[in-house]
Amino acid sequence: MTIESFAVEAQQLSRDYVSTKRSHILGRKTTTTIRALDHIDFEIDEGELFGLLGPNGAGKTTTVKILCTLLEPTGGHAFVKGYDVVKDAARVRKIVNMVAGGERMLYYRLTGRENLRYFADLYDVPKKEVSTRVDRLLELVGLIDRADDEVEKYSKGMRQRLQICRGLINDPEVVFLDEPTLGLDVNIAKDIRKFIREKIVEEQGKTVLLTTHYMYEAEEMCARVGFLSKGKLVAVGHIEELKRKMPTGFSMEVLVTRLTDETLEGLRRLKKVKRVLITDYEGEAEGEKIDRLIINVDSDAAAPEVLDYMSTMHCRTISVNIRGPTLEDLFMFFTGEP
Amino acid sequence: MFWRVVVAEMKKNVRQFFFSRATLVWAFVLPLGNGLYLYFLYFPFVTKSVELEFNASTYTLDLVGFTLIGQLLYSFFVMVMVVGAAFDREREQGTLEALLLSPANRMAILLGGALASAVWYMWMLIGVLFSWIGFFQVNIIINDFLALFTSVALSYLSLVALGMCLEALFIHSRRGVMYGTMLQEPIMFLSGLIFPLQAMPRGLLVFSYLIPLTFGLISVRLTLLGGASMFDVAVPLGILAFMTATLFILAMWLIGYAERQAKVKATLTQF
Amino acid sequence: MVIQMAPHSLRVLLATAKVNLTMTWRFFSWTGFALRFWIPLMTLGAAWVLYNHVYQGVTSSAFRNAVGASDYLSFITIGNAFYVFVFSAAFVVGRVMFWERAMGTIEATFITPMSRLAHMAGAMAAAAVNSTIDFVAVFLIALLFGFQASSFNTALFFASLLLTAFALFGIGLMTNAITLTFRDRTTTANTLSILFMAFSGIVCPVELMPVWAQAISKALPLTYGIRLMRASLLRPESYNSLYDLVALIMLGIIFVGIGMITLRLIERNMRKKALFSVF
Repeated sequence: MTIESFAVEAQQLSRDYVSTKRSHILGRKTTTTIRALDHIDFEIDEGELFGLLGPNGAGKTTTVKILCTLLEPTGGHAFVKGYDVVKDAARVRKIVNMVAGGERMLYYRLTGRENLRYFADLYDVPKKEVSTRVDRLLELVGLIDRADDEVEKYSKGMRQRLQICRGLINDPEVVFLDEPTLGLDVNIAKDIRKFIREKIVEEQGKTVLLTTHYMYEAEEMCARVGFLSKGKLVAVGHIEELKRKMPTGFSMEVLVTRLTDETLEGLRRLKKVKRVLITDYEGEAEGEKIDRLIINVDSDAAAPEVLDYMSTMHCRTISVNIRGPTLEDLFMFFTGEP
Repeated sequence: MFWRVVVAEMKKNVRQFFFSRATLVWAFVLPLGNGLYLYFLYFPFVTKSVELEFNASTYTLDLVGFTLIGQLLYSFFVMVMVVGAAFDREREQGTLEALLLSPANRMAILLGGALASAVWYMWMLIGVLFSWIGFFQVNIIINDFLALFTSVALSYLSLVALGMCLEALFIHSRRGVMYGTMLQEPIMFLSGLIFPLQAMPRGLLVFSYLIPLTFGLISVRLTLLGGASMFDVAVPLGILAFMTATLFILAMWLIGYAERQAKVKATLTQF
Repeated sequence: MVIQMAPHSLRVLLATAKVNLTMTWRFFSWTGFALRFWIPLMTLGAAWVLYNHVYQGVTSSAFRNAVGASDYLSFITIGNAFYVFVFSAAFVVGRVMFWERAMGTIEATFITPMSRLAHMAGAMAAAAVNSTIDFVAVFLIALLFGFQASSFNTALFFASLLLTAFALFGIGLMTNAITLTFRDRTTTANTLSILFMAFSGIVCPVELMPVWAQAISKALPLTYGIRLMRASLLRPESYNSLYDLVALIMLGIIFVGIGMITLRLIERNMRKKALFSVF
């Protein structure tokens, strides 16, 4: 056990998945190892809302599952409030909880209230507090009127809200939110984000690790973030600090048609252009494919030069948006992924 | 398209069924255990053989053979039900809606599932036959191989058809397993699986004759243990063929009805 | 198990039992209730036909010597009544984790600090309550077929029930390991149930079985439980219950011990191999 200084700490954390396969039921086994986490290090302070970002398959859920003792790491260590997640797993379970996106982790045949009461028992919540806590949580998420209906009759949004109640039933010190707004509609997702920020973190002072692949979500909620890409933590820090690490202060988001490789090369050679990324864009203009360019420039004064060049190369500019770097830009910068 | 769905469903079920090597082991152990249970059932009584009366003749059949044939055919029926309970599994996994969303012919889906159970059954048959020959040394008397083959094949088809009718229950409701079990028990009791049919109380015989397994058991036992010919078992085989055709038609109607009811009552996702 | 029965563990046990019973009975149907009587009606009916119509009510002398009575139907009733507990152990306790994984609730329960043993004991308690109804149903149906208890030794009756349930709980724990490891739905539970049915003396006295079958039956707790209960209700003159009681207690301790170890190992294995989310 380390001296408790951080709420959550990962030290050279690694996790390999070994999968075996047979060509047929009596065939020989072949083994493949996938490194889902590759020696990651990060810390989360008490009362902080930390965002772990990355595309699907980056290792976010693996990280969360290790920290809440559902998985054992294959290398390195992880600590929650100073307790080792492997050696002191029983203690860790008393002080953490997890909310996952999706509709599982609830008993569909039980009512919302019964689900929460059951988990209160599993967490050994003091008996005299159970009823009031359950009611309070249900009221907080707006489910008090449907508390006595079976979960199978709930909508997706309602189930997710109940999940949040389940995730808070033991008044955990650390809460892991693994893509909590996945699959929810815009309004409900917004309400949940607000709830997490205001009620869980600001009011109750809990430490939260949020994983998401929605950049705007992390930008809205988190002060500090970490970028996971293919199992590696490529950057971690305050969003503003990370933005300062970008070589350029501005990004131009340009939608064009008739883009050629020659034009792209020429664009990259322009003095005021630091970096050009081409990303997927679905759409056509008058039958021509639209390409989306993220161009990092050293100032917004570079914009006319860039647009003139594009025009000279016979590209048709559909739209231009000049802005300061977003989290998405940061992510692409640090990971090199579009 | 129909046969494509049948083959696809069959492959899927076989893949899911034989996911684990342990299944190969259980496939041997399960019917043997059932057979032993039935075999031991006779131990409190003074007997090492069973007399089967049929067509004014009395056949003296080896006790082990009598019980194991019964168990073998019943096991096949259970296998059809187990694979049919794939709908129950689909419901649990949340994939039933996706399956029924497709334009795949429902009969094709059921048939594919039932045929998948045949793969399981073939594997099981190998194990059971080895144990008959090697361990129990059952006295087999076959005089007409065509009669035996026809008896086994028709029994198989009739059980597939019956299984498909019962599988419709699994689509209809999460209580499908319960209804299926309610029907399985009397089939076991009334079909002559456990004791010769002549011992059945008269009032219950009429129900026995409504079950295809009854005729399948008579035919297979007589042709495998009693040396009966095609002529001897023509009547039960004829009845079996008629019942099989009827049950297939009934299954076609039932599956459509069950699906409509499940959609009206919104029970496809409940488990 | 006694050591682990801290207040929280007891709370987990009771809560799990309550939740399992709620989930079973919430969707109560008269069909389901009738099924509990339907199954013994069929099985005991078959035994009655076999005894009365095939063999005209005559059992072998070997049977009479082994059982100490000639009442075949009472003999088989008790075996069938006990079998319902086997079903609970194999199908309910033996599939607790499998079912939790299928429903997607296994992770939610495994991140709590609850005792897994208490959780499984709660499932067993719920199964025992449901099985008690089946147990009573068997006897009620058996009365229709002429079941007669020539005595009722209360202490022996309840001792046989409780000690057998204890041993079957251990078997249920072990079965969890098998169903989870092989990701099997019902085959393991079915096979176990069938093996118990065949070798525990449910349908014929163990003494009449071949030597190899008797050897298997000696390792099954149900063998002793059934014999004890038969003694409590049918009371054969020459029966001495001490050997069976001791054997049952020892088997219970062994199976529960092994079950607890396999439970720990399986949990560890699931964390190592990320098996919580595979189904």
